[in-house]
Amino acid sequence: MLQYVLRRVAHLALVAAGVVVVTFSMLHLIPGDPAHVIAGDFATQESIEGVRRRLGLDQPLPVQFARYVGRLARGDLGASFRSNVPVTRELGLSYPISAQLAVYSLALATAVGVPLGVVAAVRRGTFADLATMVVAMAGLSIPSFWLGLNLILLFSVRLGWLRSIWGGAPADYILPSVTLAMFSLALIARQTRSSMLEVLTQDYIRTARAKGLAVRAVYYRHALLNALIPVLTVIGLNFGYILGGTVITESIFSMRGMGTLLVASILDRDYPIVQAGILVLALNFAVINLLTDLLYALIDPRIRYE
Amino acid sequence: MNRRGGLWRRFLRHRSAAAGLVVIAALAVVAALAPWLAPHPPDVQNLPGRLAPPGTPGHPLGTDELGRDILSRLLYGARISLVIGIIVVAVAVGVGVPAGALAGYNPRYDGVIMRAVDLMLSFPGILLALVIIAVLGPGLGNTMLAVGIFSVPVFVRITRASILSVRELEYVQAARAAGARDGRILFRHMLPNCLAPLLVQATFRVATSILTAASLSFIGLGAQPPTPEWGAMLATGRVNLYIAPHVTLYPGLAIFITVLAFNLLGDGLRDVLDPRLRAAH
Repeated sequence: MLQYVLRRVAHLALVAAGVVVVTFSMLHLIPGDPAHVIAGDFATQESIEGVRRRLGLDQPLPVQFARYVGRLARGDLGASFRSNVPVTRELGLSYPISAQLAVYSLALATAVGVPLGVVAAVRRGTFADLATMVVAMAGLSIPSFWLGLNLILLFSVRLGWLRSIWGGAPADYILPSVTLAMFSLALIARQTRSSMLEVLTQDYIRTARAKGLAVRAVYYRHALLNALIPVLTVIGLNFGYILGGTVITESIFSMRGMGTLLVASILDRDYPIVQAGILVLALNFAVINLLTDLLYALIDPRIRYE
Repeated sequence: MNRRGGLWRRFLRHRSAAAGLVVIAALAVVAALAPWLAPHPPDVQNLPGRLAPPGTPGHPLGTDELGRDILSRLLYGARISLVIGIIVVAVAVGVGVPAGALAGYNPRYDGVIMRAVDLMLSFPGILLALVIIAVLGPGLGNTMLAVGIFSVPVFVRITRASILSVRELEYVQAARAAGARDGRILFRHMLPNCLAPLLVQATFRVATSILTAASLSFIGLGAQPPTPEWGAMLATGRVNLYIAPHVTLYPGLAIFITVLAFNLLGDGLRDVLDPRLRAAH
């Protein structure tokens, strides 16, 4: 197990290094002269030179990279081009919002998706199964932004239960979390159903039934636990989808999270914020992936030897 | 031929998949005939008649904030969405399949290609597309390219896995023994046997791509106004969400139906083409 953990941690370090290289390269991959792009279309030669010096773009590439890594190591993510506010402060304000949204959404998707999938599998071929799968298919296909706007129309405008203006209160997370959870909820329900159905055809299930165990005990003690392993994979993968999806959801509900910040900064070409935001989200994702992998290894000893 | 006939019959018996195909065919016809079907040009403004409700004479689905006919814009939007789906998947397949085939066939390239895929997958969800748009700048063309690259890893992985599963089979060795070169073995003998999972994934990916591109347009990074792209229509319509919800209702519905159709088709193709999975469903 220790060897497995070490291998996974080494992999995390590798991924982190790759992400740092990519975020560093972003400025240099802009077509044309980045200093020119950042200074704007009507910049004078002097202001372009100024931008170049300020960003250190006049230095050789290895020097720039070393400086970038050195600043990252000190926790210095630079300052916003636009407001000159340190990026860490901007991210410090928006990160908790996105993190909460992501965690609530994943929890909701799991808490509803797994039971739905189990019910559909256990009652295979019945109306409950059909209805669940129709809802899941719709959940996979509905555009999240359209769902979000319709939820606002229904719950804020028609029913007046929830306000539609973002204020950061706990209740303000309800509609965004439902919106963001829907796609993952549908995927988790489908995966749970199909892996449950597969487990139910196994010999040991027949044995358990044959030796007279109650149907309930067979389903929930023998089948579900084994069926959940592939479901865990899907849940882990969906964390990535949900982290990325916060960008869209935050925009729908005007939440001041990292997604909104990121999109505004892309439109403004405020590269320090874009670089740092992407770096933070990708590193979060890498850590979550590490944790889920370790969790699998704990649950399913076969995985360690692969 | 007989086997193919059997597949086709099985596909037609798969009612939801057949329904998906019918909807897609209808969308393709609508997209092709948009200039003749649309009652108005998509960009003609009529400010006095703005935000007209559905059922207004001459505007069956009403008008938007600039008085443009929503039905006409939806019909033209079908073109854009279908083109997005096709181009994105073409980019993803064009890059992903050769890379995956190479990785699966030749262990020498496997490490490099799979590390590149790992790196791409280390950006959660839509974020890889955002990185690319951040570099290239917003716009519909860059968005298609970004979503295409974002979809590459899926095709690399599936192709690689399929190639690995047939690499040691006898017919491949027979081809090699007969003196066929690597390229011929790979593209003439091995890849055709890996088409089924690729076809299924490509269908799902059209759905995902249309959805992703529309999302990017909705947040302002994709198609820019006045392009009648469905996601962009929603973005401009949301300002008047409370007083004129129909402006956002119809484009959203159009995306939903289109994506649903491709997902149903993908589900059906998987059930029909993949005997291993059929047992479980």
